[in-house]
Amino acid sequence: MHRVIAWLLVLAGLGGLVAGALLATVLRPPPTLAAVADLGDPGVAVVSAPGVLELTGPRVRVTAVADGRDVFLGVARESEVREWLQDAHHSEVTGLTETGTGHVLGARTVPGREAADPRLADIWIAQSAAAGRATLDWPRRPGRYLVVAATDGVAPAPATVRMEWARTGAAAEHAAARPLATAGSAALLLGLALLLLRRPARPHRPLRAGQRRRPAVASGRTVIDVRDPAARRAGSTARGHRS
Amino acid sequence: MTVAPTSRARRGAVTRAGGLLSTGVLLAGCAPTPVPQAQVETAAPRPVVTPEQATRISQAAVEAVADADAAADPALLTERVAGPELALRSARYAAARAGAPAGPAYGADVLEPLSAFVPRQEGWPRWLITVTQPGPDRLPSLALLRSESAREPYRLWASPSLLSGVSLQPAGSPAAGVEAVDPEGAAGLAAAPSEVAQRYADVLLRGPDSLHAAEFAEDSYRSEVAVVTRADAEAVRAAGGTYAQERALVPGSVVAARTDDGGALVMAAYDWSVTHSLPPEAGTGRLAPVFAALAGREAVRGATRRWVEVMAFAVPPAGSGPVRVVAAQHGPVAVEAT
Repeated sequence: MHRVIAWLLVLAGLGGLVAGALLATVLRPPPTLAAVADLGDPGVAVVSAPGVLELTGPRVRVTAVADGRDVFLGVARESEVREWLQDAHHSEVTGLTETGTGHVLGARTVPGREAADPRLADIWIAQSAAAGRATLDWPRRPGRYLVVAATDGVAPAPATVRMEWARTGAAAEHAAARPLATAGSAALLLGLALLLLRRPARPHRPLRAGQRRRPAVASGRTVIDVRDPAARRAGSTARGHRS
Repeated sequence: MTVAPTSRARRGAVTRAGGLLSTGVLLAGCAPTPVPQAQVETAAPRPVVTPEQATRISQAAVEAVADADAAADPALLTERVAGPELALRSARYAAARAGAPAGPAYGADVLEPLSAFVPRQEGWPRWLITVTQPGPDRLPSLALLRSESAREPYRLWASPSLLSGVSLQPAGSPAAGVEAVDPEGAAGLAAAPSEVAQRYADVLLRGPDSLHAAEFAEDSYRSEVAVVTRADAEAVRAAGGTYAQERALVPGSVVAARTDDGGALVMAAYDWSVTHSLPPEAGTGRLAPVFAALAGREAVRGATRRWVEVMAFAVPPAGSGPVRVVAAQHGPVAVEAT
């Protein structure tokens, strides 16, 4: 049983190490996590919900597309975006929804009225504007920030919004890679230790009269069959032992 | 006696362990979809803009003013200029179109910021003050920019030039922001900012006869206004005419930022009007070119000339001496001839 446990630990340890190594290399998460929202009715602005910009990683790249129109992207503090939106008809990107093949951005529509031209407002801490397609990189910072994608605040907002979060540090690693590798290493070392540090077999002593060697059926090792009463009287402990 | 496991049992155990391991790896391979977690926002007010925003806002005003000045077109100002600055520049454009020489503007010609007073504030309206590079008058200006709502930009509202020889009390860095002082609250000051502005209006009108004259240190702007109005009034009265002036604080114009000495930098705007009329026997008087340009004619029997003035005060802590005028801007904006 001792050896079985040891071998199981060795096998499990090797498995853990291999699995951890695979998760840290071949099965490592992609360097970015990307998702797209295709909105049928975006309203006059598309706004991220609190926490969406900081979903993972140190920075996010937002891209908005509105064919044939000027596209504006801006990031501002949540309270200021709410002041800017007021009762505007807009879409709020609420987070990621997993599909069988990846992720999409989930969104909800908030009915309302027109907003104002976002290019005139000075609430934006970072902004980008371009014809047809605009891109904005936002490095994570403390606080509650939202991104707004719009055209002129009156015409429909970009119907396609893509967010791509860069993953570094813990977010770039598979959550199970390190634990598996660590646990695997521990199990492997423990198993090897059990195998190597087991009590060594005693050196064979010369057989006395009446003693004979016979194969141990169960273990396949040699046992000493004690039959000589003299040896027993002499305190010999030549009892069978399994190595 | 010990019973050793059979090789079949051993294979089973290994298979089970392998299965468990594979399941673990497969489960581990399914990384969870991250869920948005909103960060906690600090409750304390923060600077209304970042230093980068302040620079961008100033730059937008600089470009708008440069374009409008080049075309002498006030329509180009409205997106980024408002209040006294819009009135002053519009009047200057009108006078220039009529061929009148532009007088001293007492305002910023260069708006590039050197530093800024950015208040810590929530809600709207909002404001910030930048200290600009010296212009042709070799004096820096205080550019006051105001935003009425989240949907509206900061517009250059006034840009009084520092008076010669004055210095500004330092205040918090643009990144940390400064405390916005309630215009109606004294808060350890010699007087509430609005009260300071009201009292200085009285000093400008009455000169040394004002009850509040001793509360303000002497300044070059007050001296100049006193000399000009005295000469003006004497000329009209010598012709038998009447001369009267009024000065009213522009409602909502007072802003104040705490300075490091416990005092405040206060800015306020006035509507100043001077009405004169000549008796019929005196004939008509002649308006100076800039007023004539605004009035549409030169010869008048009487006129009401309107200026806007923007003043900046260094208000000390209570009991720490007189209020100092540190910057001034003024100019004619309209003339109604009779």
